Amino acid sequence: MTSTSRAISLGALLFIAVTSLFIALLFGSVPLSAPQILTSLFSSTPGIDHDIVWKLRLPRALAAFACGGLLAISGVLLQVLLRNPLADPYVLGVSGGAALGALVALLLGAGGAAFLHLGALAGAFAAIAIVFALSFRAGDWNVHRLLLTGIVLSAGFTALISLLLVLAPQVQLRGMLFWLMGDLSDADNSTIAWIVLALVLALFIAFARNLDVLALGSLKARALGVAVAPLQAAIYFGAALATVAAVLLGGSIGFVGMMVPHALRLIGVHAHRWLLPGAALLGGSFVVLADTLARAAWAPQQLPVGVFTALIGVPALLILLSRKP
Amino acid sequence: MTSLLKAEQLTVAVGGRTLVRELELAVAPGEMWAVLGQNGSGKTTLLHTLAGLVPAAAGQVSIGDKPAAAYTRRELGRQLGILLQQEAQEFWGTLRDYVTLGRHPHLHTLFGTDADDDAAVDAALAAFDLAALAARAYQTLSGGERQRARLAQLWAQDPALLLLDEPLQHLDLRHQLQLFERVENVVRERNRAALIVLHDLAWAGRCDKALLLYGDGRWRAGTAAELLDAATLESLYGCRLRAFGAGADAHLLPVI
Repeated sequence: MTSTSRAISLGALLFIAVTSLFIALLFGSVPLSAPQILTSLFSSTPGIDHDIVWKLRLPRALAAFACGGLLAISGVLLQVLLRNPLADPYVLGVSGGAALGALVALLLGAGGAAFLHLGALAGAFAAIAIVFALSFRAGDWNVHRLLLTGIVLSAGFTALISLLLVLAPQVQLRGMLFWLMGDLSDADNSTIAWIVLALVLALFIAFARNLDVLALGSLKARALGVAVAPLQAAIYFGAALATVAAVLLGGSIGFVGMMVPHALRLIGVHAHRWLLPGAALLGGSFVVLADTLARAAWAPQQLPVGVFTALIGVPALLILLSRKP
Repeated sequence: MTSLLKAEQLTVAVGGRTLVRELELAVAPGEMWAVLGQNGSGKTTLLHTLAGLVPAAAGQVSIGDKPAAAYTRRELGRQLGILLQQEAQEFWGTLRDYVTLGRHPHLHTLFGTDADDDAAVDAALAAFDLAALAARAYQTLSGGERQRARLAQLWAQDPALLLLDEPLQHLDLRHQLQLFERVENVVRERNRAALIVLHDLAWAGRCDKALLLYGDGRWRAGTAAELLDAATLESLYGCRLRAFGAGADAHLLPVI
């Protein structure tokens, strides 16, 4: 792929991102036309339209975008680290830990959203620490052991989550299921998620070439002058941080982290300095559109966004995969 | 003249089994070494150890006049390059993208490559008949073309010492010859050195030095002339050999 066609791809992704955000602003329980939206966006006249756009729809759309961007970047990073195309942000047990923590917090019921977030955060960090401690040996980090440790731990979390779901009182079951499927209906403040997104993206774009070399295998990367162990640790924690930020915002939204990097590689974007920003844009747009569908398809009832990421993503990826190379 | 690479009391072990014990090796600029031994005798592990990819069980490796441990990974990547016997097959870019990754230890811009890098990549592609394939997706290359792509990547890396682990695999006869010409060229004219793991005694005869690994800790190092005779190699490989042809054209082949 030449640099012009790469620039075109990135431009197209940028266009898709802006369009998806605008589409998200168009849908909601109060009908607003495109001109009304634009007027509210670019004027400071207070009013009901202005409030709907600035206080309800835009924060939600931005939260969805940050979530998708974080998950997609985490997917890119973990696919390099684990050298496994099936890796997604959840293989390392981070989301399982977060979900378990969140469900325990929901079950205990005290303190509202802050308590829920604290529970999820504690669970996620516990998972990150356990997986890292069990699998990291400086100098020789066996990624197979890392992958297996993550998968085994995830299985344990899944069992505990099932147990909690069975034991939980009926009234709380719905909230728990939404959390597990990925749900953005409570996501309004995404400042932290955007900061994490910007930091992780900037850091790894700066090290993009090292990621390209590491994708050839750790032995080869070492032979080509990459300090592999620190890079692997940085990738692990970067991906974990991105996943935690996304999961705290929207629960376990599935499929974005695995699908988006593949979709980009299949259209010819593979060098990490393009793949990372491309993944942030495509992942963000994808979740924004899925969330708009989740809000609009069954309005006024809101559906979990995770259902739609899979419903759109599965056919999209299958079509890309079946294309002739 | 100082040696490019020196191993002192170097012991190489895999899974508790000592393959090479207390190796003393000095590789000088302009030398081509053949590394010979049976399967599993530690040739690959020794190369990995010399390249600093795996730790030695004991002993020390020096590059130039400093111990290898005193170099950063990046500096080491400019001193010493290795052709791995096996590597990942998955690469999404073009052949040119792949060869360009060999410039990694030389790059000093955050993104992209400078004119020197591009020239080195062009030369490396041309050296292995790959210029016409440069824009092809790496995944579509044949086994032999991939082997040449790996060699071209190593040529783009342009290290002072080449460690080649079975470089002839997948190569047709013409490209085997081409490879040896390229190696001889950089070694003789640019004062580099090469350590080449081989199973083909005809090619081993073109090297000036030989290192024989017996797989039980024993090793012998010396000139090719004194080590590559039928008796020594029969005991190395554990099979009978016979010379075909005569004089400089004599080839040793196993006999039933």
